[in-house]
Amino acid sequence: MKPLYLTTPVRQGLGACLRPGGEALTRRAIELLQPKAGSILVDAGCGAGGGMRILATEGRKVFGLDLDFGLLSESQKENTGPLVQADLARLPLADGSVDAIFCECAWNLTKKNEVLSEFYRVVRPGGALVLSDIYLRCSGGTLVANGWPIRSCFSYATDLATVENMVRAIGFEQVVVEDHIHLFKQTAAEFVFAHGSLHEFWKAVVGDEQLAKRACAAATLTRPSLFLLIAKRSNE
Amino acid sequence: MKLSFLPKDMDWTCELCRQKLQPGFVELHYAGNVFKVELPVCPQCSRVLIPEELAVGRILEVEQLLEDK
Repeated sequence: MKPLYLTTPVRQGLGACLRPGGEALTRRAIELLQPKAGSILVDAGCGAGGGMRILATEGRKVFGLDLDFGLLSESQKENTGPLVQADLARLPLADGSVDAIFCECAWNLTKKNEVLSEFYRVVRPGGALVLSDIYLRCSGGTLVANGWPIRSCFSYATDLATVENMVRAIGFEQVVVEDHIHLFKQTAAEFVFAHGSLHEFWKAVVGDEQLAKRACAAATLTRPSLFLLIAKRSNE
Repeated sequence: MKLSFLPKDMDWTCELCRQKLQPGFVELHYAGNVFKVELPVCPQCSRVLIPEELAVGRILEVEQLLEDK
């Protein structure tokens, strides 16, 4: 079964920015970080290139990395910067070589600690990490999280405190976290409008009545939401 | 996301204005969220026809979702 973000209902619903809220959190992060012209940014998990299109404005240089060749091909049409097919746990980038790394709704699908270590390695001292993804407001533990019937940013999500602790443990500092539940709900509600109900949305995704029920039950138990986290690597 | 809820026949008339309803985009506001949807609209008074299925089905589920129920 395809991961959630590659299924037809999600691709059709979300467009080039494959995440709840679309461009909103990329724009919010730029507003908070104010990266200067000439800054070197990396979009880790760039997908179809929707985020790169925003990052690559105002003279910034952006590199896009993604494991999925099909999405990279779509991203190439945007012509916003160099693209590399890469595993986020083994970044093809030199130590301390980038000003900021953006990873939006991709981290939960990776080996999260290994990927954070790589982010820390490639961000220059004083540089920044921008992380956005799903978190669970009611973290029922691993058993509940694994109740999701499809590989997705939901199935590997944790509570927000765990996210923050993981980022600090790697060495990042000045961690700022924002909850963006309204963006998550807006997207979920649009899927309800488009498909008739959340159950019908999940049925269109997984193609099975029982699996759709499991997805709805997991959502009810875990109460997913969306976070934006910005952290800095110290200047030393 | 393109959201369209036009009846198949579009054979509806505004009782007040005696105008045939036309497809139009309207904004539904609820709990701080805004949804742009296509519905039958009176070209004169801008009243909107919301089909019963939409009101008691999708809109109700959206309200519950936004209210965390």
